Amino acid sequence: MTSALYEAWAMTSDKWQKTELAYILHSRKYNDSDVILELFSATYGRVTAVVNTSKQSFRYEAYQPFCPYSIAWSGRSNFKKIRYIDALSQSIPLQAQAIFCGMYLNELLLRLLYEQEPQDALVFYYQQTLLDFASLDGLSLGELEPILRRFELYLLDELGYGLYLSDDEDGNVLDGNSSYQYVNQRGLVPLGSYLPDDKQLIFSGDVFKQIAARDFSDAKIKFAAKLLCRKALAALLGGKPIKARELFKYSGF
Amino acid sequence: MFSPLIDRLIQALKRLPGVGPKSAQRMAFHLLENDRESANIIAEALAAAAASVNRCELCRNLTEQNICSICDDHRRDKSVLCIVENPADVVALEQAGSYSGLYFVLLGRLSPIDGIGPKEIGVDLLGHRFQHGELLEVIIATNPTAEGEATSHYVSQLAKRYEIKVSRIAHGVPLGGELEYLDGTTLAHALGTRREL
Ligand SMILES: [Zn+2]
Repeated sequence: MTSALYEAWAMTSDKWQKTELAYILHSRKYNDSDVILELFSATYGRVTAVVNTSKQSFRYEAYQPFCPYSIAWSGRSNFKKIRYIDALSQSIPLQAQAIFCGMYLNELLLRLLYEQEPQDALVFYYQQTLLDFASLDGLSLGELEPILRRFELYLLDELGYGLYLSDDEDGNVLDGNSSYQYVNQRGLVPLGSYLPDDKQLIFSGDVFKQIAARDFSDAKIKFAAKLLCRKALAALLGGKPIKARELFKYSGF
Repeated sequence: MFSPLIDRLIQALKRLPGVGPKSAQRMAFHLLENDRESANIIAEALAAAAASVNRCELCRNLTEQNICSICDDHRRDKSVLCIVENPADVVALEQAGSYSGLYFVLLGRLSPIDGIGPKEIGVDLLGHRFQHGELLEVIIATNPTAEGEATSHYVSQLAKRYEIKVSRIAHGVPLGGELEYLDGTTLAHALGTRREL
């Protein structure tokens, strides 16, 4: 490659990212030809980009969530232009309530991910989570919930709000038979030393230890983990709950 | 460049889907230069429709009556309800001509990120139909997108609570289509929903 050519290439590649793996969290029509994509990409985290469907001869319906895409975009602002987009495979086939779970994940990510911050590990964890959902028939929410909880706990870790469940707030090892209360930003507080504002989040040390080990085989642990994740996520989401939770009305979510 | 009234007309026409500045200008000049009669017909039809067309109380389709002509037609089979996303889907199914039951128009599909949940697609009214209607079967004809599938599953869960038989329209190989030109997802869907012969 001559140096002039290389320089031209380097100049372009500065503005034009090479292709990378991305999932579409959400798409919406902007006008007749443009579709706005909210992307979750490995190297750049959350990215908003516009794709011109008239140029690419793609229908709006062609941009689906739960499908790995190879994407290249250009532009320096927070609003990128898609230069290349191609599905790497078919959509991960989510069935029944697994679709609700997938939509819940996408809304959670859209609300909580920082724009253009690398999230390599999280993208692959997200992909694996979708594959785990797809391995089930989606008829039993009980089977889907542990997968959902592992993702929520992983997401909290990646965002820097991981739950410390192996020690209490003073660094003492948990006593399996004693009761602790989970308090946002503090962690596990031995019962008696804190005025409980949320009695729901009081469980024995054993329960917290099993959640820390991601062992949700027991229904009691599963329930505790749900309340714990909900509390921790609510602190990040502010006053506005995740709308996708309404989908689980007939599932007992 | 344009006088205020002409400019206002061009801006108004531009609001239509598929109409850009150039075509809006062309339409405006055509109506004003050559076809005043059409201009008046369009203006009157538009004003009358916008003032009087509402939603059918039973199926949410567009109509100026309280109950639309399909819901009101005594020859139609009141035991079958076909659930679609949009009024245009009703037109498509009616033109196909092989369905004689009733419809329910969701006016959208579940899309929580856009703020569209069960309440927004009229699930309360639909639940009322399931509970108090003479329904034996529900056919779900939402689009084969992720949102359409989520909507389909939600509605089917609701219908099953009232012990109504639920089916989903098939998606797959189009009539006259050739397998080698189909995309992988459509083909996979067609395989997944194959039927025994
Ligand atoms: Zn009607």
